[in-house]
Amino acid sequence: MRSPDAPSPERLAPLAEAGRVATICAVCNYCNGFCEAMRAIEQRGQSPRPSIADNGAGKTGVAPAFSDGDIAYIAHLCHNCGNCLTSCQYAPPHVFAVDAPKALADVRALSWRERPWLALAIFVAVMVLTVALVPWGMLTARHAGEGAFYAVIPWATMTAATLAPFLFGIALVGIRVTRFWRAISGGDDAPMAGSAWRAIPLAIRDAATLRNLEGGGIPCEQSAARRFFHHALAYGFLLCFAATCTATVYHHGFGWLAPYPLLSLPVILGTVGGVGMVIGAAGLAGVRTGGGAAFDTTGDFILLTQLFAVAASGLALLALRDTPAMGVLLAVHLGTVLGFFATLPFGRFAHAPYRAAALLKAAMERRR
Amino acid sequence: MTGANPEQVLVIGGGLAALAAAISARRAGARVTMLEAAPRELRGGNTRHSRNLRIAHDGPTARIPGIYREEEYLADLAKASDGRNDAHLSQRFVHASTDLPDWLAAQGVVFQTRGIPYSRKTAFFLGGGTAAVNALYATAERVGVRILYDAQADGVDLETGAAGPFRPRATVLACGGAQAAMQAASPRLINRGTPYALGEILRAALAQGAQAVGDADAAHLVAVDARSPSADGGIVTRVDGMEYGMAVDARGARFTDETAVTGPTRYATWGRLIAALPEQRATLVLDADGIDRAPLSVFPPLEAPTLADLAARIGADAATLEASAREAGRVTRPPFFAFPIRPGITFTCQGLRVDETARVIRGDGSPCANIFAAGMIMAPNILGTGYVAGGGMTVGAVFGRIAGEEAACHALA
Ligand SMILES: Cc1cc2nc3c(=O)[nH]c(=O)nc-3n(C[C@H](O)[C@H](O)[C@H](O)COP(=O)(O)OP(=O)(O)OC[C@H]3O[C@@H](n4cnc5c(N)ncnc54)[C@H](O)[C@@H]3O)c2cc1C
Ligand code: HEM
Ligand code: HEM
Ligand code: SF4
Ligand code: SF4
Repeated sequence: MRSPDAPSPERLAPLAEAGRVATICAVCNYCNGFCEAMRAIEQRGQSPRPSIADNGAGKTGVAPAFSDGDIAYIAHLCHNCGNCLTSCQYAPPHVFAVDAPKALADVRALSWRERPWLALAIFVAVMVLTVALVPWGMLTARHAGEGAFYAVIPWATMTAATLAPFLFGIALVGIRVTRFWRAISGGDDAPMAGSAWRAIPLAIRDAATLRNLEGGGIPCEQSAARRFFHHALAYGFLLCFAATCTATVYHHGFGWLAPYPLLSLPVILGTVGGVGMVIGAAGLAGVRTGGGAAFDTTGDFILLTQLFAVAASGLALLALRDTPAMGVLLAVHLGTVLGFFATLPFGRFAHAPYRAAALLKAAMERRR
Repeated sequence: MTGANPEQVLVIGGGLAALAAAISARRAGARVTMLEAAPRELRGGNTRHSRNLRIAHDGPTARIPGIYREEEYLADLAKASDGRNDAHLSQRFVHASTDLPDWLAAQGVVFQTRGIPYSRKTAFFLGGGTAAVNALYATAERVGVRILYDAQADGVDLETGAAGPFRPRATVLACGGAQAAMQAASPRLINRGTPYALGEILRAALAQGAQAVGDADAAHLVAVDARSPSADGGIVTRVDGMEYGMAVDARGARFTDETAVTGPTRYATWGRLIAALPEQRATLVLDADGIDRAPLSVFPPLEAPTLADLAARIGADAATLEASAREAGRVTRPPFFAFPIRPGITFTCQGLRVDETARVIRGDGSPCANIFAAGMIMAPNILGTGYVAGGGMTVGAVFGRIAGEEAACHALA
């Protein structure tokens, strides 16, 4: 997290507050059985640390127990199950006012740079461009048979338009997650190199099951619901991704052009995935509004809305692909997809790689 | 739930003892009202700051490893209390501890089995005492205990069991110790636990002729940071790591060999030593190497480049502090660091004598018909003025259960 330029005051405040809370938790340690975040806090609180900070002009001052990298790591490990807050002897109104989930969520928020208007702008632009460039008759006609979609928007245009923001987004997120990984590894990679491989299955299990939402044995109803809906959303997303990959193979490998029959692999994968996403996104939004989180969740809702829109428009397109509405729906669907891709680096979708990295690091620590 | 007061059993208190009493009285069929002096957010007394309980067991169980037999537990109690515990009651207590984890688990309490230090004598609450308190309040609500918050009882009638507007058939006194009262009387001490432990019920019972056990002036004391809040600082304010530096009094002189005080009882030993100093305060001084070895603290250390500067910061005499450092030999490399220390009260050691039904005993040895006591308010029957780790929680839960069952039995008879 430490960049050469000094962190701005807005960044320092959440880091300092999370550092204060983590220090109290490390000394208290009552919650160490709940999750990886608390285990990591415990570990850093106990391991011998160089307390004396080197300020250049000679050694002075006590360095904080947690570096900014430690704090970022712990923040992305916290799954916000809420157990440590409800179990905290220092929760507000206690003067220590310990609220670990909020402090850590505020640090996570430093990793997102939300630009919801960018997604919206692209959505509108795709719509406008489609309507402007595709002759009206073409757009509202009923298309059928192989290549029907490409009659509305040519294949090359579709591919170029989606690939560009997708690759750009992946690259930006990749750079930031790489920087995050370096910061949380704090230069002590060497002794861990061997353990990384053995840790990968553990990390995959933790990511795939969201084990850290189990609360270490005190699962609350809300966490159970959030886990279920997140699984529906995330696995639905993966199925949609698989559908797109299969379709690409069909297109290039076999020269079969979409639309594919209802019982073809891409459509089945996409339909199941899309339904999962719609249920998951709606469910997560419901659980969130149904109480719980006391902090700003706007970014979560933006991501939920985007994913819901992508999946719902895709399903609508499938349902109505043989009607004159297809042209417009295709534009709508592509608009949501492009908007989503373009905002990959500016939204919370990046939590997936950030969290995967943090879980891998945690698994490596456990393996050591 | 409200309106005409329906309770047959009144439980005064809101920690583990009160919860165990209320739940077991309710499960035995009585209508129960529980009075918790604290607001809902701060409910649970000192229980919310605790973590483990001491359990006898003949072999490893799912929740606790190794073996800790009842005889060994009894021997530990006799030693800790200097033989001043009630031997018969202690026997019953130790035996009753054996099925406590199962009972608590059945009331929703979750135990931690991984990531805790090896301890064959104690079982740990997952998430600590506050998590256990939350689980027990949820169970109490579910089984139909009426729970009133911000409901401090300021007295109890030992003849009838009446307290304020309440006219129950039986009353359980489970309102903890008198830490807050002791702290108010000697402000140099810090109360580590709940500010609601005012001891008014204890005083009321003693004034009406209940028999006292323990010692009014004794308390379990621990060395805590002098910057701790005056109450409710809990577990994180303890000062530790004296063996890596030196502990000095207000002048800057050492008063004991720091390396001789080790092991799990070191916190209490330091608490006692510092309470015995004339000013009842001390300072832990560490050098640049010592600060690396000492455990993490939630309070930042005071810092100075020389011992003389540090002496000025902590109000000690520079020459004395320097002489102490030479003598200790561990405080040599600048910069130097200091943590101010005061004694912190964990609990007070005066209580009410009870019999094996948890009935409060009068000065003449006769039991009160319908007044029961559980938890810290009667713990000196078992602990004397000493302590065994995890013993406080177990006294609360064991006698809470007994008192609740006996009170229900009396009320329903
Ligand atoms: C920091 C700390 C850590 C500890 N750790 C451990 C540990 O790990 N293991 C262990 O065994 N013990 C531990 N103890 C001791 C343990 O907390 C006590 O032994 C235990 O809480 C006693 O339980 P209790 O129910 O009798 O009292 P408490 O838990 O103190 O509860 C007393 C309750 O009564 C209420 N009350 C008080 N007066 C009135 C009134 N007049 N009217 C109505 N309500 C009233 C209070 O609000 C409170 O809810 C610790 C203590 C402290 C301070
Ligand atoms: C490495 C894999 C992933 C992990 C470990 C993970 C973990 C999490 C966690 C812990 C939260 C809760 C955060 C909080 O409450 O602050 C969350 C929220 C969310 N995740 Fe994931 N996630 C992963 C992948 C995905 C994928 C693939 C998607 C969707 C396509 C997704 C969509 C979302 C959304 C929309 C939210 C916000 C919803 C809400 O809680 O209100 N996640 N994720
Ligand atoms: C690469 C960019 C994408 C393109 C070009 C694209 C294109 C299409 C097309 C043409 C259809 C109609 C298929 C049919 O009717 O047979 C469709 C459907 C669908 N799309 Fe997309 N899409 C893209 C990305 C996505 C993404 C990222 C998601 C969600 C994560 C998604 C979810 C869906 C769903 C759920 C359907 C309906 C089910 C189906 O027909 O398979 N799409 N998409
Ligand atoms: S959240 Fe509270 S109870 Fe839990 S470890 Fe931190 S300070 Fe302790
Ligand atoms: S909110 Fe849950 S996951 Fe986050 S630190 Fe607390 S216990 Fe761990």
